[in-house]
Amino acid sequence: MKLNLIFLLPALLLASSAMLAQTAYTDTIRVGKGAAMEAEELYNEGVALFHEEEYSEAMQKFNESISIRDDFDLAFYNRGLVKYKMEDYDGATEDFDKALEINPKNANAYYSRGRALQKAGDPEKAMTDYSLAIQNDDKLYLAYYYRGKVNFLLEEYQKAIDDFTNVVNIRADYAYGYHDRGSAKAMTGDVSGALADYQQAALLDPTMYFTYNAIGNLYKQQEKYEDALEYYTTAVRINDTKHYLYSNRGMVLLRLGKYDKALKDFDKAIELNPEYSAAYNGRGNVKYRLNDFEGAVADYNKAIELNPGFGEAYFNRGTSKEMLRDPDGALKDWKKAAELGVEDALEYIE
Amino acid sequence: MYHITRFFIIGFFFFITFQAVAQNVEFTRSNFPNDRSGLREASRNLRRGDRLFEQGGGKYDLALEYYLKAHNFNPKNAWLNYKIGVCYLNSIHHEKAIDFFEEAVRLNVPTLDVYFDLGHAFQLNYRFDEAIDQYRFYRQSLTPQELIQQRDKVDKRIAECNYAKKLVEKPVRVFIDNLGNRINSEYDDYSPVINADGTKMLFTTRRPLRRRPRADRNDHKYFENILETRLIRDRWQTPKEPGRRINTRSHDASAGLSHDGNTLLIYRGKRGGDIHESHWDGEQWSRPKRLHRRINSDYWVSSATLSPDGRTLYFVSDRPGGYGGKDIWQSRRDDRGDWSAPVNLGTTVNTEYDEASVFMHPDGKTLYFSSQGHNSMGGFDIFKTQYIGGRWTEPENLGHPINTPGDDLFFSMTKDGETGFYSTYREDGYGGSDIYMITFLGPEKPLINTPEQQLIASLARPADDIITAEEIEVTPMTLLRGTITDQETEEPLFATIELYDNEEELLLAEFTSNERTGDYAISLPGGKNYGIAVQAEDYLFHSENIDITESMVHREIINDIQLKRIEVGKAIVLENIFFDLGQATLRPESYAELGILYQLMEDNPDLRVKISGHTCTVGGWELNKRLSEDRARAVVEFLIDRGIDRNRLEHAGHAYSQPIASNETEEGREKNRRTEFEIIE
Repeated sequence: MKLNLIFLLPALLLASSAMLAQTAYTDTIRVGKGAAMEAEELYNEGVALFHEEEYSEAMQKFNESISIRDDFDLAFYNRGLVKYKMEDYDGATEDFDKALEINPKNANAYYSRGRALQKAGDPEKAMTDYSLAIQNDDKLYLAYYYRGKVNFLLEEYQKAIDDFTNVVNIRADYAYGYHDRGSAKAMTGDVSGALADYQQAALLDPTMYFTYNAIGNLYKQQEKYEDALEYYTTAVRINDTKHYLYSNRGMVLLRLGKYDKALKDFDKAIELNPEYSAAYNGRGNVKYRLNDFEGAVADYNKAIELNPGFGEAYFNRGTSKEMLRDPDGALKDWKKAAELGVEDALEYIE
Repeated sequence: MYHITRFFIIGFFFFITFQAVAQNVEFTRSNFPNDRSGLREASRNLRRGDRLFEQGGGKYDLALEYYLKAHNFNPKNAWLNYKIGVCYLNSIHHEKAIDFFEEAVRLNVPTLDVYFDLGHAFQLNYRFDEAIDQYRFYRQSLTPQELIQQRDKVDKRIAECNYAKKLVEKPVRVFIDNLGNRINSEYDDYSPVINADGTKMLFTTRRPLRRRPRADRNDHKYFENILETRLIRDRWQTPKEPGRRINTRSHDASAGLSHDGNTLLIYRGKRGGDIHESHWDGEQWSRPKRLHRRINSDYWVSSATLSPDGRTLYFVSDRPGGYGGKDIWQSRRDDRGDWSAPVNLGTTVNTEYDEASVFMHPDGKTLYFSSQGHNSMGGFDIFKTQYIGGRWTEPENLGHPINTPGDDLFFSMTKDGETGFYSTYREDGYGGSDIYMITFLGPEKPLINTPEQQLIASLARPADDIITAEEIEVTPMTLLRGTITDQETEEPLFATIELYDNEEELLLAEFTSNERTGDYAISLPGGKNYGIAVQAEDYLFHSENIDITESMVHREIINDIQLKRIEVGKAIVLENIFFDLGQATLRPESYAELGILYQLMEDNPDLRVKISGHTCTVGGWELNKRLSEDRARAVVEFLIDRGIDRNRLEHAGHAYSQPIASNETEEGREKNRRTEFEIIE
């Protein structure tokens, strides 16, 4: 015989408890423990497992918690985070949707859904969610940060600067906020502002090798090669596993005429990442300077093989082919480079 | 004696420096007692070599052959090693000189010249720092008198090495190609002169052209002759003599060609070296005619070039009035064809060293010339200067790899500036000096390298972007359970249980007990004041008040409920009727239960009931009597207000006359304060 023990009124608004829809009265223990309590306990276990990065186990707990209480917004929210961590961004988005359906004022859920949407490749929707998160919690610096990032990627640099400014106003110790504001400033041509922000970022977090790289790039752009070299070297000292740091340093060493050292850096970059086309291009340039035009062409070939849209490598290969007495080949490469947007190539085609 | 001492000191110094002074081995019987025929042969080769060596110039190559044979027999002779070094130094294989000079030093060859020559060998082989070391060592080893004589020469060489280092560091962008063995020979070939579009070339060669060629006694090379070639379909044709009138049995060298290619300036060795002029009439070159005495004078005149209008002649001469060595001069031809007195180009162009091989570009203002001075990297280098605003600009070295540490001479260039010709000594030559073509590649093409940007920190190194909802306080639950039975028979009852939130006057849930066992269980979140109404058909309803507003721990309350059949005389306590303290005003929390009471009256229209008020002993009889009556009346009035007939209701106030618990404890007193409901009909 089945007994319907519970009939919930629609108006029932017991935020953290609910009566269990119990079908078999014999299960007295379960009834006795209390439905809300059990859902909450499962949820807590899930949270603990999540922090231990035991994602499938955490997922299991949240699933159980939700099966007991299907209006438990926090369980949906955290299950969304589990799915996010497991890179199931659509699944995560669904869970955040559900959490927001239950509690439309959950700023964190808007923010997290924004993250999932951005990861799933929908920056515009993500931006909307970041804005909703900020509407519900104007101290949510991460929402500002990632909205700034979307603005940056959409080349809305001034908007990005505004967002990053909010980030550092809320969290003055958030190095990423300074770093990215520095980048946005650099894009608007504010070199000194960019430099100041990068310096602040490096001061707050001295492990940020990419900030030193960014400073190096700024100096290189300003043709201050010795300064650039110093910053790239610091970056490499902090992190000796990043191929692009070696490659970037190789480029200024090349500019400084230190060909042997440049060659070593490009070799190292290629060793760390044999698929890194820029390092082949750079090494080709060193070989060109060392009058090894055939070696240079071989490197440019590899760069183009890895990255068929690499206009600069075509351009440089053309210049090497000229030195190899292959004017037709050179012209062909320069034309291809111009096609791919390398402006310098245009004047050689004439 | 003095010299011996000095050599000893040098030898000692080298002993310390290199720790390897080897023993010189002379070509003597005592050194080779067991190979007399070998020694005889080697000594003969040595003597033959020496005879050629002494003549120098073109004889070095011949001397070398004999020397190498002798060296094969005895590689430890100091002088022989030195002289082989000198032979190589004067060949295109100067890189081979280094080993022999170094060996000569180890064998303690008794001449300081070996250091200077070794320096020169290093210089020619682009080992400039080592060259400088040798030159410095040579200079330090000189006697004061020698130093006075040699200092300028040595310092000049050191300066050349320093210039060379700078020039080599920034090479100019050119291709340099040997014109091939149609043009070049194993002999010296040089001084190419071209017309403006570069299709006609005359040059000088020292190859033998006659059956019995004559050699110049000064350098033991065949006399100079001029050859002519044309460029047809990008190929220089096999060169021929430019007719019969041009070459003589003495020196005839190409000194310059007008830009239209029709006026050839010829150097002839007679009379101390003069310039002659020949014209192309479309079929042949005219008989060369000596230029005016004003130009040729008594002095030596070699290279010459005409301005595009043919009116100005620039030429090289050692005539007096110059700035040292051979200088560049100019002269203008007036309308009558007379040449003006030559004017020295001045110190911007001319140096204390030799200038040579002058060429005016078809643009009429750029003069190319060779010089041993300025910032030459060794021997003659090619320079250019421009006549701008009435003066010659500072000569500019054409740079490496056009210029080398050796002699680079006789530069000329086409009108479009894309191609040049000159003569130099390079490894890929056919012997002696050769003619080379220079292809100018224009300014450096930049190589492009864009550094990787990591503009977004969270892309460079992903940040923790997770905001977790943390663990929550588990809501404390109170479990209320028990069995519902008939009060008299103790049979389990199937009853409806309504759960109210008294404060909110809300029916939270409605459930039932087990029909077979009468068991029920309700879990209640803490923090509320609950009312429970239990009803079964034909039974009086039963109410419970569960106040767990303060409860923050889990607990279980066992509460068995006995229901009374609806019969006259049955009374129940209305647990969820509340009054203000000391008043008879119904509190809103009571309305839920009053509703149940009302519903009972409605469902059973024949029922007559009595509501009784009871109090505890606190406050005295009179007060409690009145309060209990008033409270009972308040309940009755509530029901009448809702529409229950007044006649069906009675009420009474009993104060504390009917206690159901002890009035000695607060718990007991609370139970005694109650409202009861009794069926009277």
